[in-house]
Amino acid sequence: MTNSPRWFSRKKKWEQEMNDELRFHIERQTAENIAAGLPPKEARRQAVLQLGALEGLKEDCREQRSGFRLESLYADVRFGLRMLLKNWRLTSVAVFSLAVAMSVSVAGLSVFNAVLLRPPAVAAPDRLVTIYTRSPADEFENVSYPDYKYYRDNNRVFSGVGAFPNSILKFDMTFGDRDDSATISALSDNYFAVMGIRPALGQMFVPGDDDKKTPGAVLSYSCWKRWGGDPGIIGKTLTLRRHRLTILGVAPQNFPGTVFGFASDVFITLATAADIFQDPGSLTDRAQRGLLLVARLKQDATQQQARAELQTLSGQLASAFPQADKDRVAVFTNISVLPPDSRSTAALISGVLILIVLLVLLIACANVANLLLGLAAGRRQEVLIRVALGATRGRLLRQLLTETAILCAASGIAGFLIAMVPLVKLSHFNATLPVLGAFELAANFRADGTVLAMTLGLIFIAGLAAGLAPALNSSKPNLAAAMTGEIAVGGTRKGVLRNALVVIQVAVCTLVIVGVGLCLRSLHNLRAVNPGFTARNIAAVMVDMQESGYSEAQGRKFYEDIRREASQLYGVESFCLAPALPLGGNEWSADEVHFTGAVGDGQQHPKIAYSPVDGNYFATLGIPLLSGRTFGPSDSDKSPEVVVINHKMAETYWPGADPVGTQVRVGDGSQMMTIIGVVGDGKYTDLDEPTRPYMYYNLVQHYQTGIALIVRTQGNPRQWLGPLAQTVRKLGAKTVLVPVTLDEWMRFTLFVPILTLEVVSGLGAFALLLAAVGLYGAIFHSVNERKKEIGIRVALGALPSHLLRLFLGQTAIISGLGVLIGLLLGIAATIIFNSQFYGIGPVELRVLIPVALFMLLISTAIAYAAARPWINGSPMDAVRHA
Amino acid sequence: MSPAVEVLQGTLDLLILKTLALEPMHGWGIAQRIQQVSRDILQIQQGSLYPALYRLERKKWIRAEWGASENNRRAKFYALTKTGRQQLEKEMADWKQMSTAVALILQCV
Repeated sequence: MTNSPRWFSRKKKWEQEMNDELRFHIERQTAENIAAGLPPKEARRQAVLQLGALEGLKEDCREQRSGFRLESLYADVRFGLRMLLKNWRLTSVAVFSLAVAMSVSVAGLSVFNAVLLRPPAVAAPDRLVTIYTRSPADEFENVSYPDYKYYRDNNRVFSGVGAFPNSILKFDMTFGDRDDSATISALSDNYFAVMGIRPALGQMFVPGDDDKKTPGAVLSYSCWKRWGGDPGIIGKTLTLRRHRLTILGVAPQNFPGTVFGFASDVFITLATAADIFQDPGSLTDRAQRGLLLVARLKQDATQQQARAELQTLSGQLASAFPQADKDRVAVFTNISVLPPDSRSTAALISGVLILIVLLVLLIACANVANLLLGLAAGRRQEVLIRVALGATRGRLLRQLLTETAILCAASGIAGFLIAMVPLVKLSHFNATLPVLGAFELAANFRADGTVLAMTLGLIFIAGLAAGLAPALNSSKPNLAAAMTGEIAVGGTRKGVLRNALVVIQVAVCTLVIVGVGLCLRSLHNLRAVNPGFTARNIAAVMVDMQESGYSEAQGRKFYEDIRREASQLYGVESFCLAPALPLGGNEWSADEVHFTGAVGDGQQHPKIAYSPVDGNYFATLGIPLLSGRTFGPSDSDKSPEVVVINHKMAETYWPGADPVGTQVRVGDGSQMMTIIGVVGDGKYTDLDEPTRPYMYYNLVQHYQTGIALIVRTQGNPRQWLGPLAQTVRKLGAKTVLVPVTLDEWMRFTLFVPILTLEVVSGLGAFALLLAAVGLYGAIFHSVNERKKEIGIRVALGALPSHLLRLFLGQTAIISGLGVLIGLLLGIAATIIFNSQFYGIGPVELRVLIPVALFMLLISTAIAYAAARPWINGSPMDAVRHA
Repeated sequence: MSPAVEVLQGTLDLLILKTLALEPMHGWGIAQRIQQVSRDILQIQQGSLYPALYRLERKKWIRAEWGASENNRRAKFYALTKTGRQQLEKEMADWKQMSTAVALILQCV
């Protein structure tokens, strides 16, 4: 609706015609009355009387005019805007609070949508399923290549079954004269066909490529662009680990890669990958379960049929290959961007985040509600006049809700736009992950219809939550109270509503801060864990012998070379070789252990994790030797095998005895090893793991293709990172990862808890900010409303300290109640999410007490700041201007 | 004048449509006609006539046109539209059904 001249003249003409019509009616009736014998004047009077109250009648007619409703809405909006702009301070605070909360919500919802709701961008995703296997030992396990082939070739329910490992690799690659580090995704030759992904250029792999072993590659769209976007790239070659791969095609832009969140650069077939990475076992070994399957249901196949078919096929595999597939059942779920085993975790994490986000939104709504109440207080006159002029309660409500709707719409749009900036940026960017180096992240967080719909829903809910209570409250003016001036004194019911809002805000804010405290405490506990080794002054560099093109003999010589170089490095106190640094998040390896003699019951063959290290490992990392010795020069690859075990293992299997000198058989039971020493316990994979048995094999007796040189330095280990990389390069080998210090490495293992803490703290800061604004506003207004009372009290002799005590006491009750509720909610949350924290009890007083004190302190400070100006004001002013 | 009966709630639309079924008419004429035909029993609240006419016009059951009245004055004449005629038939059928039902109940009870 506009105020255009055309619209205006049309409205004027309509008005004119209505008047003409009614005038004609009166004239005609007058004439009739005259004919009936009345004197002219009386005739006219009667005619008008017969028609009824003219202005009311006209108003009734106007309401029937088309466009009337729109027009009155327009009037409401215009008036609402004027009122909001008049109180621009309150308005901007309200819009700001709501916009901030709204942007946080939109961001949270977008992530939630991208991770859990949105199907992958492929053709007909509703017919696609993900297949994995389930065994008594493991809920989620992948599938081996031979098993995959069996499912692929023998089922009758899927039109195609593709496979890919749920991991990506990063390697140096050469394309033309360009050296680039590229991310590689391997996948089965029919993967693109099953997913229905069409090439942007050239062609994709076709079924059969796996058997042909023609080394081809498909580039991702972003990689193709990065390498110049040459339309004639098809048929050119790239070099990966001294293998030449022919570029067959370019994937479409909306297919970033097989692993959610990461952008792949180069796709190769599983056969090519097995060839290049010299891992033929990945294609033949049924125990190497590295593949996740995607399958497309045939048009006429039902889910039940598919379930039954998979059960039959896994039954056949189990009876044919009991060693690998006994009790293993293939199951499927609908496809989503995440692999099945991480969905529940992702759902939990994003569920908690969404919950916190909605709580922040709730605080903001309470803020807006409170501000609207304050706004309404100043408009009592206006409401009274409207009521006196005959406005119905519905009409008043409509006006007030219109204003709230304007507020919410403005902040909703602002919030949406604010949220989009980081989301669009996050959707495609290069992240340098600690230790792993630079990766291109590609998760499509951009808003789609779902997010838009959810945002509209949020705006609507926010509008109702923020607007309804104040509108109901202020559209019900008490005329009698207003006449006697009663309303200017505090203690109305509105005070109760306002206090309730503040209690909610404080409670929610306390809950969120408790969450921050729990994350912080949990992280602190993790950091305080004794890992069993000393991380101080340790630096490491990792080398891949295979990548460097070494045979085992060359590799063993490289061990000697790098030891010699390391010993000549200035400031290196001690050094050792090991396949990996401790606490990498992945188990190195595990072997079954068969005890000889009278140990255990002779029947059990526990699987115990181990890693192959050299003799200096323990001294370099400060792992104490408790008994016996570690690996020495006398232990060679020709001498009998020796093993060092940890204290827990000794205590578990040889309680009260020294196992040094005992022999055990490992693996399938053929390999005999002598225990030569016992060392202290530690953490091996994760910091939050329980103490468990662990073994160390002798590196000399167990050659490793990937090796880390770990050195203990005399000073800040960062200064040795450069020399370490240089040493490796001088020897002509290739580093796998950038050199790291052990501190950095351990921080990386705390990546997830730290990230969680950062996100929750950010949200907590928002919650605190918004709650502070709300508390300030509420106290400011409640004191403001009681100006007259304050004046009287001061006139009667109250000192500022008395008044201050009065207000602070009141605040203490309100915020104390809020804090109490928040703490109870916090305890409930601790119990529900206990498994996510490390070393946290159900009632974690070390978190609850500081949070409670903090919240009470903050609210008292805010109350003081808000009440102070009134308390020190002149009582005369207060009484007069109340 | 016999005692006037107020027009039943909701039947005003029906009466207006029926009256206009004969010929286009202005507002005053409609009120007059209803009164006459009902032998002065039905008396329309003239005040409620015009909002009703505007409502029917908005629903496109009747349309308005300015013309000359019987005493040669400019007057707004209302005429039934096609949808208005259909609506009239429907409402007449409803009314008949309703009045039969009411009559039956009054006879029996």
